[in-house]
Amino acid sequence: MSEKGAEALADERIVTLVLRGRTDLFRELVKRHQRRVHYMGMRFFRNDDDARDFAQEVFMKAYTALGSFRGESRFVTWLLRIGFNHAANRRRASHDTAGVEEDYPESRYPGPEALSLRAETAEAVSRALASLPGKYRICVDFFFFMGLSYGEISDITGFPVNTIKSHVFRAKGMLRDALRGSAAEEYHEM
Amino acid sequence: MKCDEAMRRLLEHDNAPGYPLPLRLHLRRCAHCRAEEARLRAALEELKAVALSPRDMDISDAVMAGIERLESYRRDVPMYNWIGGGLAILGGIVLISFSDSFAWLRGSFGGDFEVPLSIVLGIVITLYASAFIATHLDMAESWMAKRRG
Repeated sequence: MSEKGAEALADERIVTLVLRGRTDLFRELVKRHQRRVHYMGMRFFRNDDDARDFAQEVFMKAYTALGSFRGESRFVTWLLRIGFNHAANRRRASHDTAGVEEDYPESRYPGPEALSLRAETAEAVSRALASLPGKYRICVDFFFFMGLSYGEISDITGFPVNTIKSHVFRAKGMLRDALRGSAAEEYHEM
Repeated sequence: MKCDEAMRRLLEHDNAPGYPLPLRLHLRRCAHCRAEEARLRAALEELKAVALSPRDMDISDAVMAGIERLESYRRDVPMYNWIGGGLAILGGIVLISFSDSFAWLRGSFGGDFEVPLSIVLGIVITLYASAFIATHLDMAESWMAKRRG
């Protein structure tokens, strides 16, 4: 099978083939998930060079640990867990902070405002993130921006599902309140 | 279901397609909640769509180059060389007791040479095992992860 043919395969099938020696197919996994891993790097390190280095390191770690992937979670969840742990270790090693768990960056990159979001959406997300304790910001971030489920976020971060749920609930409530009475409301009620 | 309860369930809803049946039924008959749901869903979709890194970024070449370096390093010392080396060390340990040198050592020193000989052999085995593990750390990690369950 060519690398082109791998586009139709599920992540887990590609992992099996890579473990059987089709190393070249790992490129497909990188192409599929690099934006998420890079985005995670941007959130932790706040600049593109570090985020790219981080993403490469995460994929190399994933490649060398591929034999330990047992398919109990989605490949992307497993990959992001490697990324989360790696980011925590890197930040600890650089004495940037006490670690990801203690202080997840408050300022978003590239920032909701810069993401061409509607103003009310951007403001609500910023406020929701700012209102959370540092270590829980990542839950809202993963839920809103990466589309991960409560269970997946719990798998990655190690936080209890109910804790994640309550923080996302609060953030969603703030988002809903912000959208009330906005131009969006008028649009949807038309 | 009342609107408050519907909103609570809506805000609790996970990132998964499809709502529970009672919520779907409520949304079907309540225009106000339907509008709120549509606004919220649109905002969440918007966040997911714009948040990821630029579409044109591509690190796949750099990652694959790193993997190629890793694989070529592994290929430098193929597994059968490691197995051959290990068997040679084991064979040496077993066969040394049949050698003339061993007989001479025993004749000259009695049982006194056995402790230093054991230390030397232990060092040789440790060095071999250390070199093997150091060059196969990824395999060792996978193996330990499997054992941890």
